[in-house]
Amino acid sequence: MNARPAQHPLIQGYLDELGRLLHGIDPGERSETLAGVREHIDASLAGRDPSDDAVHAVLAEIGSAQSVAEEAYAGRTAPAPARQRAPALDRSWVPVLVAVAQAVGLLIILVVISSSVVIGESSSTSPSSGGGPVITTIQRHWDGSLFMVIPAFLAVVWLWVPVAILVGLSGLWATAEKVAQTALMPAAALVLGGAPEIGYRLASFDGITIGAWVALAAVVLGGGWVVVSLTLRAGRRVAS
Amino acid sequence: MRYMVPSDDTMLTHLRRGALEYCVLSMLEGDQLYGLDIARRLTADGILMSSEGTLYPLLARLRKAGQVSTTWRESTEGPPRRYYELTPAGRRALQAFRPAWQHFRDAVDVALHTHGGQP
Repeated sequence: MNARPAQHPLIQGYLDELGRLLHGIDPGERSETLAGVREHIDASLAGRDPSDDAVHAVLAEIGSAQSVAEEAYAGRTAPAPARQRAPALDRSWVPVLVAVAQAVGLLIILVVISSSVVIGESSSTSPSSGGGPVITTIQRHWDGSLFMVIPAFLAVVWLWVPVAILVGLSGLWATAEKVAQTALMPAAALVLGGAPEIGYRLASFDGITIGAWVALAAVVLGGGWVVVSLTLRAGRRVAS
Repeated sequence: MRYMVPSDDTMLTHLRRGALEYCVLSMLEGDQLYGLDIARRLTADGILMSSEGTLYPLLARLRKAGQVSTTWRESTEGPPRRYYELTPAGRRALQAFRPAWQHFRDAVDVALHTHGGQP
């Protein structure tokens, strides 16, 4: 994702001032007004270097924080038409529920795959002929891990279906974000099942362990980051 | 005794009140637009809106009143954008405003011309 020009100190100062001036406004309208202005600034500066001059020019076009706040206060006295709450799936419980379901789903996939994919050991003891020492041979065998991808996904399908429906119908995520949310559980199953397999092909039994740790790190860190950042973004978009 | 004559700016601010939100609804009648797009169109001539920022309290109000709804769309140039779209309630409000505005404008015209220049 691109750097957000809204982090420029001039912009932050402007938004802080506007936030203070809007203090008496209904919290939903206040946060939506601030979000609208912030997006306007981001979009105005998109693809440009947010130099001080460029930021000054954009802020001048937006007008003083005072004038924006006056409009917000003026609107309060206008006759309010029938009020309507945000659509059910745009409320704050949606990203929270989706995040919890994603976390539980990832954990289940992790447990299912790690508990069933093991390196087996079998030992055979053979007395050597002629009274010599007894020779014990330990053989390691590996059944693969890719075969667990589908069972692992089936174990979380009861979580995945509601997540896909909620994310698909909610207005809190953009299309690419919806795709990321929906693909997370299947992708985690594929990574956890596939990486040890690739490791085995490349470096035999050592590769399995390396592959498994890499997959674990990818799912916990990468998956965790996806869930947290998409939940925070949706949280900011919840108006009231 | 001298009375203060309000500036053009003050007059326009008063005149916009009550009409501007319907201009926004009308812009959204056939098109989904995002904030910057609406702001640029409204400030193009400096009559309907003087500073872009005043659009956002208005949009927040319209959404709260259920007259517009928003969807997020990816943008090639930066973070996803919030697109505004007219709801059935917004459409009804716009349909009701059009004849009301016509009558209001006619009445103002008649009043200004009938008494214009008379002491």
